[in-house]
Amino acid sequence: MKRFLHLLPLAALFFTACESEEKQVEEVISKEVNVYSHRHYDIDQEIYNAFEKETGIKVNVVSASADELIVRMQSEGVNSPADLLITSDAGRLVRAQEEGLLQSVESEALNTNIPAHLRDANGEWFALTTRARVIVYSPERVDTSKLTGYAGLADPQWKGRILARSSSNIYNQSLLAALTQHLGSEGAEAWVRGVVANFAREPRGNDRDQISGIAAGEGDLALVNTYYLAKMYTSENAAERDAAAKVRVFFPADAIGTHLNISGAGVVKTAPNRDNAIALLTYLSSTAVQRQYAEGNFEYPVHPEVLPSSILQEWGTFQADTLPLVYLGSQNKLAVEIFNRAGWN
Amino acid sequence: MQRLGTQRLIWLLFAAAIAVALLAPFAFLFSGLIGEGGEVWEHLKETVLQRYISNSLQLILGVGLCTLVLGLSLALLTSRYRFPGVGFFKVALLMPLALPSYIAAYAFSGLVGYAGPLHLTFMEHGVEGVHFNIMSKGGLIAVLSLVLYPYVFATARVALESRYNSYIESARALGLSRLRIFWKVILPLLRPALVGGVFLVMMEVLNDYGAMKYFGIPTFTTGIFTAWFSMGDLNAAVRLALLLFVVVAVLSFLESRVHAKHKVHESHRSGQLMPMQLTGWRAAGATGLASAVFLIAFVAPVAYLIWLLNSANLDVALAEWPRLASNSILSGLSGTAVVLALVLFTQFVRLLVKSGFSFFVGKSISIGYTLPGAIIAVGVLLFSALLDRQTGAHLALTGSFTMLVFAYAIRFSGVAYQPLHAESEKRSARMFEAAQSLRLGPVALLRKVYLPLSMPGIKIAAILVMIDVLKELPLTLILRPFNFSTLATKAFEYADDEMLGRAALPALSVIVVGLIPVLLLHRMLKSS
Repeated sequence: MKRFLHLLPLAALFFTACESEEKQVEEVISKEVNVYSHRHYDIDQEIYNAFEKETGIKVNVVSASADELIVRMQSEGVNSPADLLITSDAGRLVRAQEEGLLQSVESEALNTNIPAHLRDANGEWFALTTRARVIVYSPERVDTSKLTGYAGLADPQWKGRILARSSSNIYNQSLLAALTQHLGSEGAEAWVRGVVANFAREPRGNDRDQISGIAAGEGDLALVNTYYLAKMYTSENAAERDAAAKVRVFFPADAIGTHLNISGAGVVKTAPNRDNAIALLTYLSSTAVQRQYAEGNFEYPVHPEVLPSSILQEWGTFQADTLPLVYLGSQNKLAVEIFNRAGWN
Repeated sequence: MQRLGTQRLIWLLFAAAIAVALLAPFAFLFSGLIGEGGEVWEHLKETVLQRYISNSLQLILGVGLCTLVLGLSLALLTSRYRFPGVGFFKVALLMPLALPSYIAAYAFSGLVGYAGPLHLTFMEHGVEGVHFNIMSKGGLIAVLSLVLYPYVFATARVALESRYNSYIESARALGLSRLRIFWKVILPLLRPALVGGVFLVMMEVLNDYGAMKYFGIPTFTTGIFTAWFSMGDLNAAVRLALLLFVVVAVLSFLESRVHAKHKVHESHRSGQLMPMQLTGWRAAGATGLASAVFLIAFVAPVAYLIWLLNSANLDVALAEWPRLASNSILSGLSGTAVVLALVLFTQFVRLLVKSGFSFFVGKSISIGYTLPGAIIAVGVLLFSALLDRQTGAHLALTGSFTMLVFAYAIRFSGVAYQPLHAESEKRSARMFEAAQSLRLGPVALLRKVYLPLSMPGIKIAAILVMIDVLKELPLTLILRPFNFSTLATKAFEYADDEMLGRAALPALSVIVVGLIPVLLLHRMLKSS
């Protein structure tokens, strides 16, 4: 035993040497980037694999809901390994920013690839794709001339005809957050009460279920994100394609326009691999990847030179709501409170 | 009380240290609760709290009642009667246990919904409009009951088959009618087992998140997420969790009262009572009923998932399948091993040192089972982050597999506690005889007497914990290391992205892997 004790300091020395060497290597050429992501589509993994192949930088991913990831980053504090936070909602990026979790990035490439209104003024977050929350309707039962915009959905003429999903859904929350800015807090609450009074049934299911619900005749109108409908159109399941074929898209066209949300990313304030994170972010905004987002997942690309998929183009262009995206985050809590008060389950 | 030797004291301190470690994460959560609730709490109280309470109560009572009726009647049928296929149904009727409730929710509503197989089949034969939207409170009660009744079925069957036969024999000899035997003898004797089973069911219902969210039913659990995430108020979320905890504590207290009040002397002449042979239409009816439950609760959702596979692109799913499966099995095995080690140790110390304190230590580590997984996850995050900061070790713990297993230990020790505790209490007298006559020290006592004697309890505990870890979602989602997905998290992610076809393969795999412990459980029940 004693003999081994003599060896202890030696061993300690050896390990310290290894450790410091390792650390140096890490600092000089880190070949990793750590992503906390709410996006977990198959194409995302394909894109990371391609990035890895091109640059030699390994992409490590933890995926969970953006809220969970934010809580995780907060508790990890300065020790957080996260380099890049990716969410599928602007509100969550703004929340991360408000909590001081993101850092400002100045990059010419990013500024060229992503239009100014789709990124934070300080470069703390950038949109990667956009999605429109539109009204889908049954062409047989709805006269399109009666459709105007979101505000019109509170009109009693739609009594017993509107299908919706739960207010715990982030896309509904972000839409209402935007409406609190357009209609005022009281106006937005009155709007929710009006829409709730028009429900064909209690809110349930996901976006696809609302589309199927219209096809099934449960109701005539619903609010859904565009890519879900596109995915149903191209589904491998014939029945889903049929359901999608029974509805049409209406882009809200009143003074508010069509509500846009984004999927986006920001470099984490404490990122240990900052440069790699920026490299990945830039890669995600490149034309090649933007095309993949458009064709593989039916999202609207942010890169001005990349066109949406042909299905989305067929639906036509629309007047997007010009409200700065930051409100989707800052008004989220108010939106949830209004939903609770007005009884949208 | 016996004199506490130094050695025993050390063992007790060890056990206490385990309890402190497992409870430490909660200290962080509860420290913020002192004083008034914040503005979010007031808002919730004014607007939705009542709805949460009423929905949660309706769900636990509804599912509790349905599983009681279903589980008890199937247990009676399969253990007291003989009819074609009864041996098969004893296993088959346990199988729905392998279905995670959120997958069942998606499967059942898809199966009978618009553009589901039921609708399409009828359409092929020229009948339009055969589809149902089951996403309502009643629908949720039905779905949850169908996958959770095996808890009652299993506990009732064990009691029926192994314990009380002599009582029933005497009742028969006294000439009591079958109905009277049921009400006067069987039901009172079964009460502890039934209450225990229904208690487990209610815990599962209160902790379900995926199914309730998909069906759009606001409850405590969904409320906790809203308060915490959407409204950014962790304290309000913890307050809700505490309220939930009070409900559970009341249920748990009632359960232990039932156990204490109805201590029944077990008959040693087990297995002597022959099941009655059913013939003719009665036999057909029994087979029909058991088949119907099996087909609806297990075959139908599984067949639906297989049907979905046909219309899904499987390349991606197949490529990552081996990694997902091995991660699931790895976390299942590690979680189970750690839970068993901790619970066995504390229960052993409870026998070694018979005192209120050691009982409290043993019981306290089961508390995690009564709190929602997401709340435990945050507690563990805050705890491990603090340890990391204190030790200066750069993220040695946060986001590590170790911490994930630690979280499983907190969450599922309560699952192992029930069978192991019951086993320990039963064996304690014999253990001490052995210890005294053989003059064994604690280590030898543990190794040579306690562990071998506890084997049946250990096996059941291991199986139950394994099934739970395989299906587990919130802890794994929130605490997992980089690039770590399990079959359950993958199935959830696809379903959450509304790509049910892609979710089918991992979902089916969770079920198949989960069937292994379920089959083992069946063997255990048979031999006990």
